[in-house]
Amino acid sequence: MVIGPDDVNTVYRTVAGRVGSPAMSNDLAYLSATEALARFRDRSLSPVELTEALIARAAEVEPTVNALCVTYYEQALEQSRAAEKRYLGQGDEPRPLEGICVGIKDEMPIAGQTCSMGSLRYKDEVPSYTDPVGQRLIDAGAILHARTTAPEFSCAGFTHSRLWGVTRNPWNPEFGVGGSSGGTGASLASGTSTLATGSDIGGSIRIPAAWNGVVGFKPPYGRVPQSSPFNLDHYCHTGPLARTVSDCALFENLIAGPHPYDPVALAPKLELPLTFGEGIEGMKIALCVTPGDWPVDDDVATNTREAAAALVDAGAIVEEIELGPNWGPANIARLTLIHFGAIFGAWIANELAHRDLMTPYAIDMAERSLDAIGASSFYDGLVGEGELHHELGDLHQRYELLVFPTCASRGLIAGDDYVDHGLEIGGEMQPWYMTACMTPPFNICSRSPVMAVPSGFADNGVPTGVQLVARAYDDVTAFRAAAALERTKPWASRRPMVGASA
Amino acid sequence: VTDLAYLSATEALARFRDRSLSPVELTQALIDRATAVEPTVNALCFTFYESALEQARAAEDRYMGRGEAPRPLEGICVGIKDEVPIAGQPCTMGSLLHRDDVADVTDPMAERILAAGGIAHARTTTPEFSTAGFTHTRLWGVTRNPWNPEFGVGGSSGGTGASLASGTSTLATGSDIGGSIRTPAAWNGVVGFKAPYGRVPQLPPFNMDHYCHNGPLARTIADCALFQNVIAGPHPGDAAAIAPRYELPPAFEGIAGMRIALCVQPDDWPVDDDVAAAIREAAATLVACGATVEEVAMPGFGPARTMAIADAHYGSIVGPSMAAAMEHRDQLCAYTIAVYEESAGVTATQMYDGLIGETALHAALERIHATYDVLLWPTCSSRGLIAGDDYVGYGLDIGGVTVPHYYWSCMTIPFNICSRNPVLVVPAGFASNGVPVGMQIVGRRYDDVTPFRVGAALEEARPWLDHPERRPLQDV
Repeated sequence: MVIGPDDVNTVYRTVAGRVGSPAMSNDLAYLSATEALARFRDRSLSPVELTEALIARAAEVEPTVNALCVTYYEQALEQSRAAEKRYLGQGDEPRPLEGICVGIKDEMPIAGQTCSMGSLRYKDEVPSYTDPVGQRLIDAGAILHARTTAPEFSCAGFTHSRLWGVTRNPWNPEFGVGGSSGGTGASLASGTSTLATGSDIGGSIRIPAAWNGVVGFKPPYGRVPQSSPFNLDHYCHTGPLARTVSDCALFENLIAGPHPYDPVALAPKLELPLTFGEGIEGMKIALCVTPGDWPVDDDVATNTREAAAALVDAGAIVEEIELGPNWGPANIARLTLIHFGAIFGAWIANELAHRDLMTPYAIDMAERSLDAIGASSFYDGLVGEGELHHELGDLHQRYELLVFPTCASRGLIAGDDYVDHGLEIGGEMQPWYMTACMTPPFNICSRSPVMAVPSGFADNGVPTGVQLVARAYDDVTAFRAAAALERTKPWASRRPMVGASA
Repeated sequence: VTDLAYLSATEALARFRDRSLSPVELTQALIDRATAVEPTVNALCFTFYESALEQARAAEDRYMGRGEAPRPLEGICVGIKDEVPIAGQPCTMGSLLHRDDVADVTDPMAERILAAGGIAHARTTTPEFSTAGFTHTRLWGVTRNPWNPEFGVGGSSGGTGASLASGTSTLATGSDIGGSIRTPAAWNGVVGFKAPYGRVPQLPPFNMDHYCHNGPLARTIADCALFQNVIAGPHPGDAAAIAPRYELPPAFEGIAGMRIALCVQPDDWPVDDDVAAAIREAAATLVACGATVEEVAMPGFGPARTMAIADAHYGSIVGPSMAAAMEHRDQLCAYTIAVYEESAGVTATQMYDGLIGETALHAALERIHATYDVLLWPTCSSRGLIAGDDYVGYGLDIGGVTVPHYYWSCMTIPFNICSRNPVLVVPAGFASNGVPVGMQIVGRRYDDVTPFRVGAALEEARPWLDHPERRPLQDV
């Protein structure tokens, strides 16, 4: 499918202004984990009621959104009843996430759950082992009620697959949800999970956080344990997505810390505070709207500046800075593809023997990345990465935080795989759709924690997001800035209209 | 007279502070010692004695209360491996191609040494591009073992190890991408520490190579810890440097009740009898200190397998890093070309397969550490390499077995693969040819202090280099 700029404009006109006000009927489905846990504890709400509300909401919105590829509702309700008992003092004490429904991206192995990775070849795969993060969620009392959709092998910045079809944006179903944790972002935005997992090797937590208007955290590499061998890939991160900053911190605290299966996982564990009341008075923040020659949509630029202005309102000192051509999309794409060629692309290339079962975009990613490393070397990639590290290191000597758009465009067309064509951003044609995603610089600079939070909406109704990039391993500062933005420019009360008229 | 040259940094700093010794006296003692031993050892390729003495006089002033307060390494001479750039100083990397290079950047480890008042009095030899487990080059000739000059000093931080053993530096720097801190620590009978990857900052692009580590070599455990504390911690120039900084304590608790695993011969790794005997004796000493030592088997950790995994990694990074130099093969050492050609057969996507192999080793080591606080391993499997031999095209005999590659002498690569584990190398005794035997003490991931506790216990029970009888080249 090829959709040109004219069609995109048509879509804008059709769906603009579909941003709604709070829909009272689905308040429970949008309850934060933090609030829900408090209400479970004071017995003003039962986990069964909350799980039922999520299931009811899914019945309403899933025909449009399609964020959940496999659901385990019966088990979830059973677990909710067991959780209810704990809160009622029967049996063991409630655990930290007791009774909270957490969507699991359909690439994370959980023993006994389907893990298709969005691939026809693995559609019936049921692993016998559980990912370290999945295990920590289970041990914390979470209910893994659904698998969230991801593109095949999580290799795209959008979410559709031959196996599961198209996942659509709850704010405007003509647009996609970003990827690869697209089902996770859309499930949170549409109120069908209270928390949900993501992973990020090129932006896969942050892109869906942006385009679905929710919160995602890319921790510093090594903070959250991962399954092998991708734990050894310094671009790769497992991390939390949520609707509020406090929920994201609560979630991160439950999944972070050293783990026997992951030698990279950092010790000791960093524990985040759950509230960030101290504010950001005097915090020195750099703003970069168009790094290098990166083309950025006007609406995105406006909303990024508004987010920066909100940080000023919260007491921060924000200065706009320039980042040189190294930070432009051509160099970032080159470095990212070289890196992918050695590990991620090489892994996907192992599947090329079964290309008849693959999506064109997965084949394209394998081929692009193998071409990139073939024309260069992994070492050459590291040399290029070093230049970016150096510039960011210098910048972070002067500023505690960098504000950067998350995505450059107003979304991608739902279902388009952008294999033979690029897209238009801010009036310029771009050769590769990944230029819409301004996230890989922080897979390259992977030790920097990045909070991706909403910055507003484009005129097509699709949310826009900003990345709050803190110094290496300084997770707390990213959360403090995110919390300040959440207070001054709140997003949680705005909900998509999808399903509201059903 | 040579006693001063062997003074530990810890003691020297105490004596500087109580003014019973001047940094000028110590620097002069090292220079005098170098005059005596360097014709044999050849560990120092550049010396900066005049500026060192000048700095020593400035340090003396500080200790005398003139000017600013003394800094943590004020007046201590630190040998700097000739691959660590210091802006304005030569940095040849042992290569004819770079014989006249003057660095325009300063390595973050060196920057910290200088900022702490360390005196970079000399550059220590390294094989070309630090690519070998021995130390000789067309540019600087052969560095010889102070304990037996017929043998080499290991590599690649060979000049560093030999300078410490022969008393021409008080501390000296190393780096380790396959054993380059640990191999010279072993064969020169000194202490070396390969910290967890990311603990000590490095320059790009090798800071991003998780096999690669900057680190300290010293003669005592306390000196090694002092040195490590100066150089460790996050740095704006190294995106991989871990925060927060990890601080080793100034003294180490005993090891009573500690559970220690011993693996003298991992899988089918041929190990010389003298090496095996020395390691077992060191382990027995630790038992006498109150630890429990149990022998463990480590299948999968044999040389053929671990080196195949490492080759995929080196082929992706080290090999291509030398591509430009290969335009000038007539200027290069034969072993450099051999390393490049060995790596040239590695395909881009082999890195992924290598990671799969690494994962199995990580899991196996973690199973050992689930039960044991540390693991003891030999550092080198042989009694040394012949000084000046480049072993291109042939291997050597280890414990009666002819091995295909001299790398099989270096039992260090498994902990470049398991790179988040701290490894302290300590002297364990001597082989019958007089060459020292070293032992690796492998801690749990990111648990730096425990190997130091074990090393300190061993040092207390069986000290090394502490007396003229336990030092090399005493008759020169």
